[in-house]
Amino acid sequence: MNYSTYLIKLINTGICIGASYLALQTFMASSIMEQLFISLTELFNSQLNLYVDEAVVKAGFIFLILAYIIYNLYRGEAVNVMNIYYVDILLIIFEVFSHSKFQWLTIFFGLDVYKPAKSFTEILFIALLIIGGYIQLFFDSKFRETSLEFADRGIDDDEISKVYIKRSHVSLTVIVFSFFVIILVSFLISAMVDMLLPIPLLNNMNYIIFGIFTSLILSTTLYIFLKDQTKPQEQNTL
Amino acid sequence: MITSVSKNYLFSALTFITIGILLGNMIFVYMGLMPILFLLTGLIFKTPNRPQDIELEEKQSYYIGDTIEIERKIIADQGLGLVIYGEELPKHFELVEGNNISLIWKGMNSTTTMLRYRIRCTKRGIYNLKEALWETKHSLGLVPTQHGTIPLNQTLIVQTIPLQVKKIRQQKVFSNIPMPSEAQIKLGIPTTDFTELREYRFGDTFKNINWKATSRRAYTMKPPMVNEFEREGMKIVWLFLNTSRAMALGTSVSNPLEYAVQAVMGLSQYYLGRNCRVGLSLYSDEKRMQDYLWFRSTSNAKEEDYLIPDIGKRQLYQITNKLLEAEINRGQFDLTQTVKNCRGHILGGNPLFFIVTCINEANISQLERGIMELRRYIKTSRHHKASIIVIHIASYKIKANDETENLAADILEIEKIQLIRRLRSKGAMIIQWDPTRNMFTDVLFNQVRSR
Repeated sequence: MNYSTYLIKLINTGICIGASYLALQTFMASSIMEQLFISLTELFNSQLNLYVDEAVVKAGFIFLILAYIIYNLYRGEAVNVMNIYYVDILLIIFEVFSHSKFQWLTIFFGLDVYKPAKSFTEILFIALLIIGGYIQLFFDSKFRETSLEFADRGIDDDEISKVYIKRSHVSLTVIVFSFFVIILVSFLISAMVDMLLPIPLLNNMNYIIFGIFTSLILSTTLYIFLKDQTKPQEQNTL
Repeated sequence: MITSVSKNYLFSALTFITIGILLGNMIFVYMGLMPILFLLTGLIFKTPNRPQDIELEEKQSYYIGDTIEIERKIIADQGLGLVIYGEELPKHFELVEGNNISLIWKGMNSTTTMLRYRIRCTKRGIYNLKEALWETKHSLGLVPTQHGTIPLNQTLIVQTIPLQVKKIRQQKVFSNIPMPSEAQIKLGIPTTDFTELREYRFGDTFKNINWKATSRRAYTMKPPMVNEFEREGMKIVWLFLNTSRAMALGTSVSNPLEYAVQAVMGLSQYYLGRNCRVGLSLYSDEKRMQDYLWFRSTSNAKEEDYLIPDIGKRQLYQITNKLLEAEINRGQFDLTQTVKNCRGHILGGNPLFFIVTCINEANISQLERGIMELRRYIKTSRHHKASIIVIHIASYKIKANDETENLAADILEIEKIQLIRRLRSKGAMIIQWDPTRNMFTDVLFNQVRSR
C-alpha cells in the first residue's frame, strides 16, 4: 500500500469512527430504538422461546452494527467506507424524523413512535457533522480512484500524497465553512420565526418562507443540472 | 458544466430537501443545504489554466546510448487545483531517471515547478517531441477536467556511434582496406599512387617523364612517356545497404540492420575522410520493380532510393540523414534493379562497391545477379584488387542468447560457407562480421597486415 492510499484510509477511518459513534449514540437514545428493542425482546421470548433480556438484545444489536462497521473498515475500499456512512445516516434518520412537524405515521396509522430524545440543535449539529463527513468521504473515494489512475500513469506517490493533503485542506475548509454558514442560517431563521410568530397572520408562515427558499434552491439546482446535460462531457487524454 | 461528483451532491441535497418539505422537517432541509453550499462555495474556485512558459533545451543531436537531460519550467498562474503535465517519450527512448509526467498542486498563488528527467536513446533516428500534454482538474472535482497540448517542436537526432579508425603511423604496415582503383575525373591534385603510363602531352611536368619507358621506344620517334598518378578526391565508392526483412532478425534495438547501418556509416566516414566520392543505395531483396509499376512512377522511387556520389561533410550529413531514416523494407528494389537505377552515375567511374547484407539461401541468387550486374561497370584491375566487397553480418549470432543458441548460430553460419564461396566465385570479396564478437573497426583492422 502506497503512502497516499494509507493516508486516505487513515483519515477515512477516523471520520468513520467519529461519525459511527455519533450515529450509534443518537440511535441508542432515540424513542424508536426503545420500541424496536421491546418488540424484538417480545419476539424472541414469545415466538422463539429464547427468553432473553432486553439488554442482551440491545447488546446484540450494537454488536451487529459494530461488526458491520469493523468489517467494512477492515476491507477499507471506497465502497466499504461509503457503506459505513449509509448505515450512520440510517441510524440518525429516526431521531431526525422525530423532529418532523408532519407525523405521517401518526396521521394515517395512529402510531406515535417518534418522540425526540435530543434537542433540535443537538440533532442538527450531529446531522450536519455526519453529512459533512459524508461529503469528505465521497470526495476521498473519488480521489482514491483518481490517485490509482495517477499511479497507473506513473506519477510519483509522493506527489500524489502532497496533492491529496492540499486538496483535503481545501475540501475540509469548504465543509467547515458550509457547516458554520448553515448553523448561522438556522439560528437566524429560528430567530426570524420567533419574531414573526407573535403576528397572527404569519403564525404559520415559516413553512411558506421555507417553501419559497427551498423552491428557489431546487429550481436553481435543476437549472444547473439541465444546462449541464446539454453539453458533451470531455474525455481525459493524458 | 459539472461533473458526476457535483451531480451526486445535488441529488443528495434534493433528496434531503424533498423529504424535509414532505415531513416539515428543518433538519432534513439543512442537511440538504449542506451539499448545495459545499457545491456553490467550491464552484467559486476556478480550474487552473493551461501551464505556461515551457522552456526547451537547445542541444538536439546525440549518439546512440547518450543520456539526454530534459528540463522544463512549468508555470501555473491562475485558478486552484491540479495541473498534470506530461511529455510522451518518442519510440525507442528509455526513461533513465526522473519522471516525464508531473502532478502539480496549484494553490492560491502562482506556482512554478521544474520537470526534470533523463532519457537514453537506444536507436538511431530522427525523433520529434511535437507537443506536451496537460490536464487541469478542479480542486474539488466539481468541474470537468480540461486538457490540451502545448507545442514543443523539439527534434532529437540520434546518430550511430562514429567509426573511430585511427591513422596508421607505422611505416612498415599498410592497410589492405581497398581503395577504388580509378579516378573518374582527370582534375585534382595528383597523389603518389601510380595509375598508368601515357604519352607526354603539352603541359605535363618534366619530372613525370618516365625515362626508362621513353628510352625503350626512342627509335620510333614517339613522344616521351609520362607517369600518370591518381588524382585526389575523385575516386568513387558505392555502398549498397540491404533493408530486407532478413535484416530484422533480433530486437528492434539490436538487429543486423542496426549493425549494417553502423558499418555503412563507418565506411562512409572512412572513404569521405580520404577524399573519395561516396554514394549510397538502399535496396531490399524482397522487392521487385513490377510491384511498384501499378501505383507509382519509378522515377520518384529512384530519387528516394539512393544518394549520388559526392564528397565532403555535406555528403556525410546527407548519408547520415539517409541512414537515420533507414528502416526495414525502406529500399524499394532488389539489388540488380537498384544498380540499374544508379547506372548513369556508375558508368565510367570504375567505383569500389560495398554491399552490406546478410547472406542466406533466400537472397543468394539475388546477390549473384546483382554482383554480375556490378561487374559490368568495373574495369579489370592490373593488381587484381577487389572491386566488389560484400560485408556479411552474422545475423544468427545477434539473436543468440545463451551458449546453446550460440552453438546453433555457429552451425547455421557454417552452413553459409557454401553460399559465400558461390559469391567469391563471382569475383566478390566477402568480409564476415560477427557484431557480438568484434567491432566493425576490428574487422577493418583485420585487413591491415605487415609488409
